[in-house]
Amino acid sequence: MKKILRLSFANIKKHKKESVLFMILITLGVVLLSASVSAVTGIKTITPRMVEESGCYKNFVSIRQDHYSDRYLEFLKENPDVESFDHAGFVTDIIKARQTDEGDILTDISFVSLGGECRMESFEPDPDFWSADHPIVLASAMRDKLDLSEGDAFTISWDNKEFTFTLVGFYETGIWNYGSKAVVNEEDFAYLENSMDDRYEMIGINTTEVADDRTVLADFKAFAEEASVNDLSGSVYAISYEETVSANELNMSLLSIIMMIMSAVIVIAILIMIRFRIVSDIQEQIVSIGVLEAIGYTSGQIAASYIAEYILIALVSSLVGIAPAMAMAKGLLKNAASGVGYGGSLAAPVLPVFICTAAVILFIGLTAFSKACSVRKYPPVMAFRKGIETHSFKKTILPLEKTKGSVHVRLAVKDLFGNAKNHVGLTVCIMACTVLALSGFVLGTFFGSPDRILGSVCGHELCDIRIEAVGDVEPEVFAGELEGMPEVRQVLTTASDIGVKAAFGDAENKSPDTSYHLEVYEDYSKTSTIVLTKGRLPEHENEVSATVQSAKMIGAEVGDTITLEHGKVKKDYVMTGIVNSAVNPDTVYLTTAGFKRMNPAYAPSAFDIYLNEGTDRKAFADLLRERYGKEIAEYKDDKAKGDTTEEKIRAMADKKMAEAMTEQGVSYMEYAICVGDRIITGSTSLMKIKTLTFVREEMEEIADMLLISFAGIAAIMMIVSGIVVILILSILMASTIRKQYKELGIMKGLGYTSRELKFQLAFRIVPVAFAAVILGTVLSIPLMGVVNAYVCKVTVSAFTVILLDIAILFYCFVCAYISARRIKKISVYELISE
Amino acid sequence: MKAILKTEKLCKTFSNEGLQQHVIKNLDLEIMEKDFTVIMGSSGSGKSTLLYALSGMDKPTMGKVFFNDEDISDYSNDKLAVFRREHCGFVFQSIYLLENMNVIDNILTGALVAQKNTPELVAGVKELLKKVGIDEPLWRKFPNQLSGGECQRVGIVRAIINEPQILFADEPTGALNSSSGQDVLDVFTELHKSGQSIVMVTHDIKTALRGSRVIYLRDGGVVGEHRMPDYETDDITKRKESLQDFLNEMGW
Repeated sequence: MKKILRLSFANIKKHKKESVLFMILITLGVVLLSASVSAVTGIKTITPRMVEESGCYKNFVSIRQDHYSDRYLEFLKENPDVESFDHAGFVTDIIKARQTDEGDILTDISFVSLGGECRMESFEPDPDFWSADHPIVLASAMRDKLDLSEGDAFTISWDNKEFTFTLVGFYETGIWNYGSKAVVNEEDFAYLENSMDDRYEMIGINTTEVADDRTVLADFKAFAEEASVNDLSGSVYAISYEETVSANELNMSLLSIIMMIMSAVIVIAILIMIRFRIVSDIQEQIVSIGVLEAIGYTSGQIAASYIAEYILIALVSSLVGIAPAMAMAKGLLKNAASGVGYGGSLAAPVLPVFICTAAVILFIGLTAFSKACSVRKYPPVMAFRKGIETHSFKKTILPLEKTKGSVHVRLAVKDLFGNAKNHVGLTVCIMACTVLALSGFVLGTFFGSPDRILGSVCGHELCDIRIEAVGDVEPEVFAGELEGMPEVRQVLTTASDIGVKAAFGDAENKSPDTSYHLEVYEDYSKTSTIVLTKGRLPEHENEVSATVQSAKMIGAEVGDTITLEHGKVKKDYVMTGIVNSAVNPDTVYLTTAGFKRMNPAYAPSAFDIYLNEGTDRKAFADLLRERYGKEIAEYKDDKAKGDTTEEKIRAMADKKMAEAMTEQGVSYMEYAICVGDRIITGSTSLMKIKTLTFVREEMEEIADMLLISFAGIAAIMMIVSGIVVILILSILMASTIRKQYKELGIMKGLGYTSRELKFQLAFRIVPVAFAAVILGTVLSIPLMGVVNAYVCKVTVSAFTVILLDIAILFYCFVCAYISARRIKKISVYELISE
Repeated sequence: MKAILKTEKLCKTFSNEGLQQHVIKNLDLEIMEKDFTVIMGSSGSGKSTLLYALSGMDKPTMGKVFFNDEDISDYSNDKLAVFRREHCGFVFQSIYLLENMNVIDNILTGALVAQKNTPELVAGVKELLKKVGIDEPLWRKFPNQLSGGECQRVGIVRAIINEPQILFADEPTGALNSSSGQDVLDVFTELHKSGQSIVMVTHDIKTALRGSRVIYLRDGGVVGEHRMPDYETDDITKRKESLQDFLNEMGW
């Protein structure tokens, strides 16, 4: 054993640089593989831990508060499959959280009362909660996001309102509205409930062990729809524990899975390079092998020395890699946990790290074994004669007498074809790296610009300002008024918060059970950011389009007939197009006439306003408020009291009218209040705006988040593939120069310059890289297909892909050329005087 | 006759782990055009080192080397490579044919780096091969399918295909048997007769007999030189005696 190890050490020492490059490559592979596998394993425990540690319910149903009724709970009380349940109200809005040098931080926060949270989770408030002025406890995920600490004054602003809390602390939330929750006292909650528009009732349900969660939730939804006088299709959202777990795992594991793919590429590259290098070593050292055999070493011992060499390198690399792998796994896990708002202590599982490391070492050992055994083919005499393999009796490939252009290119290609078998491995490596780089580049460039995301993948119409109207607004008249304003370029009428159910097939045979968000426009040719991947948007009343994901869920393609159901009315529609959507996936699109087939009483209640270029959105919003009144929620604000008696009375009257309009569906009210000899009158004529939303601004926030994640992933993919390419080409060039030391020396002697020889060596890999890049590009197509199918249609021009392919090819050439610089060190004189 | 190569105070020192070995010491030498210069000397006298310093294969430590009055001692490695392919030809003791190439390709590898592939070039290769006794059946063979003498003759064709101004040979018959060695030397003699400048290193008297001028090296310096009787007018015995006397004088 000592003898074998001595030979291995001698080989490592002799080829120090190559060994170091191998170590870097193996360390990189081990770190990425171990970390990603460990993270994926750890990720599986996060959601169960969130449930266990927070004591929250497992299944949830959220219902818009204006559609909620305690009657629905009867179903849960009487259902033997339900073990326990409870409910709590929450309000949510996109708020300005705090101001930074870069601007305000807009964030989505769900406010829940202390009592509500205590019912839904085992929440225990800090003792300071009771003494603090307007106390608030935030989900721990917001600690870093908002850069806040305990005791800070936390000011939020929304819809021209502002409220300051005292931040009492942070807490680990359960799985409902994780990461964005804030617990406030009952008084503050009541205020927020009155001043924010999006109010929901969340019902938490735990079922018995034998029960099927999805069936219970589906039955509950059916019961609620039956019991409700409203159409609940667009306002009830149910998610089972199983769905939460799988959705969380998918979201959290994305980065780790990409890293796992990258590490697989690296490990394949390592194994291929080891095979290549052992063959080169044996060819180069064949005389020494003969000598060793002649002095009594067995071929088995010599083969073992090669195997030991790579196992030693792998062992050292793995030892070096374990600590970074653990650190990276922890980082990935923390990053994944932050995605679901979990900030509890997490330790990366150690076992997967060791299993992956051991697997890499084992594969390296087996690969080395499979190639090192060829030493047995060389008994001493044959080894002295440098093995029959070095004697060429082959037909001459590309004879030089037929050289037309550059002799350097001819010699490079001649050598390439002469050793074609050796280049198969390189082709695989470069191909895999091309797939990585290309996918990274396409994702990075496609999602790298917020405008591109907003413009083509949101699947949502992005106007400047959207007004949701209330009361007796006549859509055509109101739209006309808005359009008549000089700042306005265009107004489109649409619907808000309408849901439909959809299923594949015609209405007679189908009962749709999955809900989708519905977009309704009179004329889609006037929309600008609903971009199709296929077909066209609906033009007629029997036509429908759907997002990529919705179409997939329904199982319909362009030309298929699908059934839509709204308010228990089912109709057939023909699918005319598939729409891009990264951020608005569960949507279907109908024309106004198309929706009226199911709901003849439908009248648009939302108005998309497009402003002329250069118009200040905020100033225009103020103008709208002046003209059509404040947003309805503002009238309900208790604090909207005036200074004089009349103002106070008006404010109270407005509050009552606003409540009647939003809660009882009143469309018009007038009042006349007698105060002494004065009569104070008013009406809801100045209460036309239910909500006013800066749509593009909100979408830009989402686009920015997507941009950061995709740009990060794309950068990692491209950097890793770049590093792998440079490492494998360095190893390849070092081995080639060592193997062809004599030939290169002779050519130098004949007058070839180092530069010409470097070019020849680098040019040898060009046809290989060319084939690999083409294959890699072809292989990237199905990969992009997966993204297209599950995320959104990623489009990239063929020209860009060709440019990138050329860049990869050029990069390979440059890496090879630089790696071949060792050729300079070959001294003709040394060769001759050997 | 004009000096094609000239050295001024040429020094070559090798360093190994702090120890310095001065192989060539302040050597002044002129190599004449169309001469067949033979460099002789005992082992370690610096023959090969001098040959490779003269030919631009290696750079001198100090001093200068002039080729046609142009100082080549400061050339970069790449410039020296271009100089070699444009002006020099080499015949090595170990022949150094490229084992993965056939005879024609081996010669063209040396030729194409200096000139374009033309029908004349290929025809020239074939003519030269025939001239040195390598007939057509051997042209597509690989080096391991040829004898040592045949390989060396291919090596000579490779060295002269670019019509070098000077041909360097480092013990060209050192690895050959007597018969093959004579065949190879006959080729050198023919080349010299046709006006080729040749510088050859050898320690074999029979080989040295083919030269027109013999330089004797000892401890890195020229200690003597001898002009050989003319080929055409003097018989071989006279040439032998003349060389023997010189070598005896040098302490050979």
